[in-house]
Amino acid sequence: MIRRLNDIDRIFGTMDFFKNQMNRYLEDFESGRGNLSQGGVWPPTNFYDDGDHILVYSELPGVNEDEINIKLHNNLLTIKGERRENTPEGYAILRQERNVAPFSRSFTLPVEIDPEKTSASLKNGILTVKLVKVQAVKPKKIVVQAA
Amino acid sequence: MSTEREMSKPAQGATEVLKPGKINTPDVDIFVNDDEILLVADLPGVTREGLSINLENNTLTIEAAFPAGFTGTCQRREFDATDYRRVFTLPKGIDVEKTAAEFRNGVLSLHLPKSSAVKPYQIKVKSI
Repeated sequence: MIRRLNDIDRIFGTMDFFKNQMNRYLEDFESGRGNLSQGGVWPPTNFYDDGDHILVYSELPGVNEDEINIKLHNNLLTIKGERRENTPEGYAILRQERNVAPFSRSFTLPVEIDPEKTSASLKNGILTVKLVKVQAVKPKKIVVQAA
Repeated sequence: MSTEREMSKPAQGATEVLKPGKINTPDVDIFVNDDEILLVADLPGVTREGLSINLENNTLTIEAAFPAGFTGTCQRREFDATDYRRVFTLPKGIDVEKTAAEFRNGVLSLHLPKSSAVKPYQIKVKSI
């Protein structure tokens, strides 16, 4: 009987181990960090809403302005490009962690955007896309009046 | 050249153990040729002023501050405004004096020249 209980204990211990492993992988996946081979996405992108605009931030170190292609079609935003920087000539590779593959990410925007007013800038390896919401979807403040 | 992610060691005899804050480990490429080791690191968001590179004995520490720069409420977050830190152990024979660094578009290129003692030297065979 005692032996059997030990066995059950061991089985549960193994299950716990797998559960922890799975949680770790999920954490990596959800954070978008990690290598492409591990299922991460590149470039990692943040979305912020400040009422009038939607601000999109993408980490694109080493990418030049002319290597980025941003498209806005209806409410689908696509950021595409390629990091052309390669292995410097005459060097042997000891370690390669930086992503060199062409990238493309598409996002469905939750609100209507004025495509004419959209602007984008690249600074210190971070791409900022400023999307201006159309007047109709901007938040309006309703003032409560004393009756 | 081996790398190590520095672990926080609890202070000797201290009763309180400080947990390390959230830190971002930058992706790096390391290249080598006869003259130097070239280390390329992705540090998006960092300004040149916020970057610090320290070489002590044979330990290279790259640290960089991520400037807080997001406005509004967050709708989706895939990266955090966390600082970067990565520690490397360098092999012997690096000419520390001649180390040079460039920083452009969020990418750091660090040139670590080999000292002449470890550079390969070709012996020419003379015909008699």
